[in-house]
Amino acid sequence: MSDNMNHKQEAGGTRPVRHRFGMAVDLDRCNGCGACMLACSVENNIAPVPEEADDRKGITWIRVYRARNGAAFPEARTVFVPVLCQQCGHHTPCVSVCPQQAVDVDQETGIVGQIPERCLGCRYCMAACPYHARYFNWWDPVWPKGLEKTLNPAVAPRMRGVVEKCNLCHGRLQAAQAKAAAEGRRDVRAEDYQPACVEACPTGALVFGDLNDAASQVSQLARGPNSFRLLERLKTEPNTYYRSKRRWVRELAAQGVTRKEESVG
Amino acid sequence: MKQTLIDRRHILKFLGGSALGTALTPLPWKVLDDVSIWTQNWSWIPVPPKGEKLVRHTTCALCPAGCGVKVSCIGAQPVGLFGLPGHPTSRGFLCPAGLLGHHLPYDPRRVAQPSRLMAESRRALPAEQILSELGKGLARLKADPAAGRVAIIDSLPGRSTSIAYRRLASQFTGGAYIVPPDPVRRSLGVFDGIAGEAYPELGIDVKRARMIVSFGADLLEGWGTPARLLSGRQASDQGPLLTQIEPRYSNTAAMADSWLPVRPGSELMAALGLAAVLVNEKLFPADLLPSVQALNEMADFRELLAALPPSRCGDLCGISPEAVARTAREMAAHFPSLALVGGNCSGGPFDKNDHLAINFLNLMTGAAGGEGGIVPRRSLPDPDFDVEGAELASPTDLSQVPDESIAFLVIDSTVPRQAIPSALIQRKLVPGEAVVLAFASGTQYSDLSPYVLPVPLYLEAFQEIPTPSDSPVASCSFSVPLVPAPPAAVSSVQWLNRLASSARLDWPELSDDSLADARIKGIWSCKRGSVYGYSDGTAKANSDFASAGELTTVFKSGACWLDSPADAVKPQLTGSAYFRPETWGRLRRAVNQGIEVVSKQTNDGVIVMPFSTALATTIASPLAAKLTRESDLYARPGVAVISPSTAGRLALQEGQKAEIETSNGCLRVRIRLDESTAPGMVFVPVSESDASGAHPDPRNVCEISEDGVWRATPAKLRRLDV
Repeated sequence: MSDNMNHKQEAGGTRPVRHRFGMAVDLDRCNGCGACMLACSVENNIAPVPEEADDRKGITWIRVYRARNGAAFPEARTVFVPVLCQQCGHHTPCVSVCPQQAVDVDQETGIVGQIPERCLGCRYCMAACPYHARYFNWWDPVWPKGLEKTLNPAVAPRMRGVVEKCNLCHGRLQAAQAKAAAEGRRDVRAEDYQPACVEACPTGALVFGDLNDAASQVSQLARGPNSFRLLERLKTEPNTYYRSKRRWVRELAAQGVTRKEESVG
Repeated sequence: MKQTLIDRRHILKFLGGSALGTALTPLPWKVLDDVSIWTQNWSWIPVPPKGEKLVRHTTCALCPAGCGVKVSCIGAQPVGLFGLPGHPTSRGFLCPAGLLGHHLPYDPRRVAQPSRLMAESRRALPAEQILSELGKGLARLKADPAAGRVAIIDSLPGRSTSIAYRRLASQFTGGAYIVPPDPVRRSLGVFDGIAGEAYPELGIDVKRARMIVSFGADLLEGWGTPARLLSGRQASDQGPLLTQIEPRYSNTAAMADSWLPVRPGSELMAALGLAAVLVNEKLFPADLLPSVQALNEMADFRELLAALPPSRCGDLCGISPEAVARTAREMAAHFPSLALVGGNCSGGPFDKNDHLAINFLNLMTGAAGGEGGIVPRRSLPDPDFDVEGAELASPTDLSQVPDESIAFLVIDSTVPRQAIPSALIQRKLVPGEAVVLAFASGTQYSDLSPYVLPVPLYLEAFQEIPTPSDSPVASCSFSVPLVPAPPAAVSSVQWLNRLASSARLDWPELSDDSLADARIKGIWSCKRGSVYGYSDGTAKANSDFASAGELTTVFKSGACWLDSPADAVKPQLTGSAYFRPETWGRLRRAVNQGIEVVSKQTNDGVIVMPFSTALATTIASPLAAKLTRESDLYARPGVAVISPSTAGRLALQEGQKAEIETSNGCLRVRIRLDESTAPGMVFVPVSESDASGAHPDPRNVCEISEDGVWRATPAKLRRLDV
C-alpha cells in the first residue's frame, strides 16, 4: 500500500487536489448480486444496448468480475471484484493521452471526469486505461418504448461514438454542490452525497468518502492491513482501495503483478 | 528605391503561413469541439423528463419480503428506486430486481389486454367475451361437481385479497385454495402449535443467531427477507457464523464461512449426522436433557442416530467426517445456532422428511422457541369486515390435490415468479378439458393459460404486503400506486366480481379499497405494535392513532406496521412431532431411501438440479438482461453448468450444444464449465422471463415427486453437434 496516504495527491503529476474522493471495496462482503451495476445504469442513463453486445462492447461503469482461486472442486473458491474507474491520482493515464482534453481531474474532488461532448471517440483513453474501466458507445442510446420516461434528468444520455466511464455520479455531486451553495458553503464534502452504487449495495461492501480526511471511514479502511489497490506497480495512485481477509484473494493480485513483471523483465 | 512587389510567391507564402498558423491556434480544435457537441444532439437521442424532483416512499411488492423503497420521482414519474435506510425490516436493502421495479410497466411482454390462446397464438378479446365463456364454465362446475374441481393458486397468500380467493374456492364442492411451496413456511410447520393459541405462527430471529447452518437456503441472495441477515453481517465483520450445506457453489456458499458440498438428496443424512454428534457428545443445552432422554427411549431414534456417525454420514454425503463433527461442535459452541432449510426459490423445495430432519437440529441446539432461533409470533390481525356465514377454503399445497382433478384453475400472478413448475400444475388438470385463467401482468404460466386477464403491476396499484414468512413479528405494509395502470388492467378482485356475476354465484361485491380498509381497520383495532412512517420519518404507536382513517392515510404514504414482540413464551416442544415414535420410523425409512438414491448417483449418469436467481422474474427490465449478458454474475438462460471433469468424461467442451435427457423429456442446453461444480452434477438456471420458448423451463423435465419436490433428477447428458 502506498505510504503517502495522508499527502495530497497530484493529479496528472501537477497540482494538488483539495479532497480526494475515493472508495473502499470490501471483497469479503460483495455477494455478486450486481445491484451496484444496475443502480449505476439507472442513475447514469446507461442504455440497454442491443443483444449482440457482450462484456466487451456493453457499457457498465462499474462491473463486478468473478475471480477464482484456480483450484478444482471442492477447493474452488470465488471472489466478486467490483471494478470501476479507479480515479487515478497520479499521472492519470487517460488524461495524458486524450487529444481533446475531454478527460480532466477535478482539483476540488480528485475525480477523473469525462466530458463526452468533447470526446472524439479516438479511444486512446481506453487503450491507456490499465483497469479496462472505460467504455465506448458502439450504438445510439435506445430504450424500449416508454422507458425513456424513467431517465434520470440529472444526466444527459451520451450518443454513439464517445467514450464514457464512472465519474462517481457527477449528477449527484452537482446536486450536492447546489445544496451546499444553498446552505452558504463553498465546499462540498464527501458526506454530502453518495454514488448510486454505494447507496444500492445491500451488503455495505462499497464505502465512499474523502481519502484526504484521515478520520473518514474510507480512509481508515484504506489504511487497513488487508487493503490493497489494483496494479499498484503502475504508480497511478488509484483512489479505489480493495480489502479482503482471504489470503488467496490478496495473493491473486500479487501473483498477477509478479507474472507481469517477470514477462517485462 | 526598390519597389515592393507582391507576386504569386508572396501570396502563396501568406496562404501557407496562414494555414500553418491557424492550425497552431485553438480554432480547429474549437471547430472539432463544436462539431462533437452538435453531433451529440440528434433528435433521436432521448431527452430525460424535466420537472420537480420529489421523493416518495412505498413497499416493494415483487416478492413477499416487502422491502421499503425510496422512490425518486420527476413529477409523478418514478425515475429511480433505492432501499429505504430507515425501514425497520429491510434497512435499506433492495435486491437487483427491486432496483428496476419502475421499468416493469414498459417491458414489451407486459400484458395489457384480455387475451385468449387460439390456434397457438394469443389474441386480444373483449373482456366481456372472455368472462362470458369463463362464467359458463364455472356455472357448469357449480351444477356438476363431478366434472372436476375449481382451484385457485394464490402467489401471495395472507393478503386481504386472499380472502376473496378463499371465498371463491369455498363456493364449489371440492374447491381448492392453493398456496405455492414456501420453504420457510414448510419448515416452520414442523413446530406448529408449540407456542399455544395466542401465537399460532412462528418466525425466525435470524438477527440474534450466532451461527447459521443453512441447508440450501440462499440466505445472502433472496431467501426470506435477506436484509435480516445482511444487516447482521454489515454490523460487524463477524456477524453470525455461516455454514452453507448445499451441492451448488451458490453466491451464498461463496460468501459463507464454510461450504459443505453435499450430494443432492443427502441433506437429510447430513442433518441427522450433525444431530448424532450433538446427541452422542452431549453438546445440547443442559435443559434439553429430559427431552433427549425421552427421545432415547424410542428405538428408531436410537438406531437412526447410531447408524449415522460422522464417518458414515460423511461417506454418504460426499463430505469429510471431520467436517461433520466440526460443524456440529461449532453449532454447540455458538448457541443460539440455527439450522435453516432452503431450497432455491424456484429451484426446488425440500420434502417433509428433510424439513423434519433439519429442524431437529433446532430442537437440539435450543433454537426452537428460543432467542436467536424459531420464535412465536402473533398472526396479522384479520381484516375487519363481515365474513360471517361465509366459508373460507383452507390453504392447501398443490401436491395434496389429486391428479387430473382440476377442471377450472385460476392463477394469481401478483408475484412475478413461477413458483410451481407448469408440469406439476399440468398433472393436476383434467386432461383436455381444464380451463386455466391467469390474472397476470407478465408471462407467468403463459404456456398453461388459454385465458389471461391483465392486472396492475407493482407501482400501479395499492397492494397489500402481509407478514413475510420468516419475520419474527407480524407486519403489514402497502405498495402505493405511483403510475397509472393500462386501462384494461384491473385488480384481480374486480375480475373476480365480474367472473362471479357472469357465473351467477352467490358473491358479495368486493372492492380493493374496502378490503384494504378492512385490513387497516383490523390492525388499528388490535392497538398493538408501531407504525413506521417515512414521509415524516417517525415511528408512532398504533394505539396513538385516533382512527383507522388516520392510519390509512399513513399507510398510503408508504408506512409499515410491525407488531410488538411476543411475550416470553415457553414453547411446549414435547407436543411436537419429534416426540412421536412414528416420526422416527418415517425418518428411518427416508434415510434408507436416501442411501439408495445417493448410491445410484455415485455409480453412473449425471444429476440435474435447477436453480433460480433474483433476476429470474417473468417480467423484467432490459437492464436485467444486460447485466446477465455483460457479466457472469448470473447464469444465462439455456446453459448447463458442469465441472471440467464431467465435461472430460462426456467429451463436452465449453459453449457446445448438448441435450439433457430425463424420464420426463429432453432439454437442449449450452455447456458452461465451472471449476466449483461437483463432478456428475448439472445445474440449469430457471429462466422465468423467457416466454419465447427458446429456453424452456428446466423444471418441466425434472422428476416431480408425489409431494411436489423436484430437487434432483437423474439424467443423461450428451453433446448435440456430433
